[in-house]
Amino acid sequence: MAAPESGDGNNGAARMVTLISSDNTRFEVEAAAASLSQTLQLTILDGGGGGGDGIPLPNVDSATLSKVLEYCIKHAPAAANGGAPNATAVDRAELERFDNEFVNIDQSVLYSLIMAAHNLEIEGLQSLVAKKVADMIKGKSPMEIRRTLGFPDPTPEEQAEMNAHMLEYGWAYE
Amino acid sequence: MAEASTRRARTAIDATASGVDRLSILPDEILHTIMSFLPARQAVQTSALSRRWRELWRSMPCLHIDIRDFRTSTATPPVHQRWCAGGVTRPYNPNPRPFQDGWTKFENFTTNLLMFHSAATLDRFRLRISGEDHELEAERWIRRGIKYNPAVLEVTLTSVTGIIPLPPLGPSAVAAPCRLRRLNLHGLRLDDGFADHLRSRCPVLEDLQLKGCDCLFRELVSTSLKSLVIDAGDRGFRVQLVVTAPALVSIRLAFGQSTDPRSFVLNGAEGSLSQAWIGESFGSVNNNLSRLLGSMCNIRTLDLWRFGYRIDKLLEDERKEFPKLHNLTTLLMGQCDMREEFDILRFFMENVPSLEKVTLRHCKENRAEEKSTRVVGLAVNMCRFSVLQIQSGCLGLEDLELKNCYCTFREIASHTLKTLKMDGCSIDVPVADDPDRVFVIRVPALVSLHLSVYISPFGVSVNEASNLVLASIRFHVGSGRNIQRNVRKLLDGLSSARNLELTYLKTVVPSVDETTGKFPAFSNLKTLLLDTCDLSDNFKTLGQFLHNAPNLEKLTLKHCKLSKGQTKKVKSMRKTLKCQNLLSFKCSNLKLVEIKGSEGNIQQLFDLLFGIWENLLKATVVLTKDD
Repeated sequence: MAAPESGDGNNGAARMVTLISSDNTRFEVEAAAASLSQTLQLTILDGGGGGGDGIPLPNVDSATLSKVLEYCIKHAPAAANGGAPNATAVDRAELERFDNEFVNIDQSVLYSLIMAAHNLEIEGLQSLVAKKVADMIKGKSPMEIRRTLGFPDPTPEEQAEMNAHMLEYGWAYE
Repeated sequence: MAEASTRRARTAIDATASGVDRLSILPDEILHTIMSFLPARQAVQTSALSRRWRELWRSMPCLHIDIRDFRTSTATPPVHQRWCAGGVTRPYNPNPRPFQDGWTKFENFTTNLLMFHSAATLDRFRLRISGEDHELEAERWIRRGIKYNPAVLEVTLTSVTGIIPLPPLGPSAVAAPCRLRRLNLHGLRLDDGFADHLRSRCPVLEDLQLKGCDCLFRELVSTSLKSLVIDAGDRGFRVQLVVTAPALVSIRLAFGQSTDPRSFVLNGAEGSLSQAWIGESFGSVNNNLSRLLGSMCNIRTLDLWRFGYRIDKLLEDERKEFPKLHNLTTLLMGQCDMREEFDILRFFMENVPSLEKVTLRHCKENRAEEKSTRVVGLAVNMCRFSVLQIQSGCLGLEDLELKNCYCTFREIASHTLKTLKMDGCSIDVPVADDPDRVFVIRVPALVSLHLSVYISPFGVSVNEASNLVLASIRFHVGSGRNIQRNVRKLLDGLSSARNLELTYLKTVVPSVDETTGKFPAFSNLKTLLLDTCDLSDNFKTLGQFLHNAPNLEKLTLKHCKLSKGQTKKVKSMRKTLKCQNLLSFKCSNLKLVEIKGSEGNIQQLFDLLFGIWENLLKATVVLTKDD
């Protein structure tokens, strides 16, 4: 989808756009990569982000944005191939390897990432992180999940509520 | 709204301050996305996590209800797994009770979930059921799933008895428009009503997969469909199926063994279809493949799997009917029966003018155990495919023979190939593929290479052949500007060979002005045979070989040519330069030198060698006369 648009402006050199994080760091990135974000794609199609302007992203800090862009740059070529039916098995395996390593990070970074992916509407990234979080939940009891995801220990009141809930919804816990 | 977000922001701060988890402060949509990757039971169980999570499951947009999540007990998974492993063949299980218990829980859960879940519509509804005698429940739940008007509906029934008809699909015309984009059905009975609903009620359906379904409908019409998978499984079709799908881009067809291929007709997709996968069918020989491919005449990628197709039995006019697939660039043949000397492959090549890549994978040869394939007289001059890729697994192709082939591809690549024989082949690499027109053999496991090829004006390059034991090369050099370069390039690739047989080799010593680099080092070379080679270059070629093969044990010179002038010259040289060691190289392991040819020839050669090569005396020299 993004490939033809990015090509028509100036052939040869890829068009670059500038993104500005909430803490005012500027990131210059190929338009094709930034266009993985549905939100940014619209702005870029309108000619935004080029030159000295830059697109401000007040909801994304620089640490998160650099991580987001790492994902976008890696996935941009495959996305330009329209879901990549031409991609070789090797390419796909390489992307998979990248994805696996990419989400092998701290929980707090995962949450910042999924929030940014949600705001920027980067579907692939959102699914990737969501799946990672879901994998941390899978096969665990509620108490184990709480521990894994760093919930604070429940107060006695909370614990009683939890027990009552599990009793009421016994059909989901048998 | 603003107030809500402020409150959420404040909660976030409170949360981090008081150590509350960071996940729960994310908006509902994100938590729902996370839940969509969980099986339904686990997703519902998140409601126990905290108050924040208590009601989230009621509105989650994806439901994955799967009998396999209801194992009776973790202590005895094997019983359950065996029971629920799916598929039609079920191992003997003397005691189905544990599963029945699982069913009770599953049924209780599903009934409650579908009762209390309150979203009006769903993004995805996935249901998987197996077991006996549950037709009523299954049908009820599927009906409920359809009522959610999901964008994705996936139903898998692996029950043994009774096949369930799919309830009416999509809301009736008066209700909201059907959102169904993807429909995957496995093991259902589909009748004319289903086809009718697809045509009239599913305006945005793009992706349809029918696996192991009992297809009773005759016609499938969809103007939106882009991808179609029909895997008939064991059931096959009972009637002829006509598919009309003018927007179809990719199709995957696997007919059961019992299915007559005449029973499938594709209409209207000529313009849009670019990818096709056709598998396991056409056991009988008729022109149905022609007709089917004719309806896909613009495809670019074609995968054929498990074809046993006797082309020779095709009638002459059926052959003529075979469509020219002008846009086909990639052809994959998997588990195809390559008997009859690659008839199928050859037949395709004749009809596919723009082929660029051919891949053979797990191809069956004469017998399953036999690992060799012979291609005799494969004339591929009509096509321009550039890579012949041979990928194999358990039936790894180890032996490939191309005889009298006209090769217009630029590369042979294989990981399993051990023996490659190209006999009498002409190589014609198009300039478009490689400006130097070099033919590449990229076969890392290669043990034995036999080449009898015309390599001029084209080069042949052997890459990565580090296990080469025997290389037998018959040069047909002809004339051309780059002979020297091409011969040297080929020799470079053979440098790890242990045994080298070169026939019709002309001089390979670079002329003064040529900068082709160093002569390759043949450090593994044990035996060298030069047959009908030209040694009229003052032994420079031979000298180069001996100089660069320190471990040589046996040298054979057979019918090697000397020029008259050279004979005289060396005779005189013997007088004047007696004992001068013209051929000064170590070859300390050289034990045997064989010279074969006519009487005069061998005598001359021996005299010459003896005169200029002191070390020759240390080896046994055998002179053999022609009969």
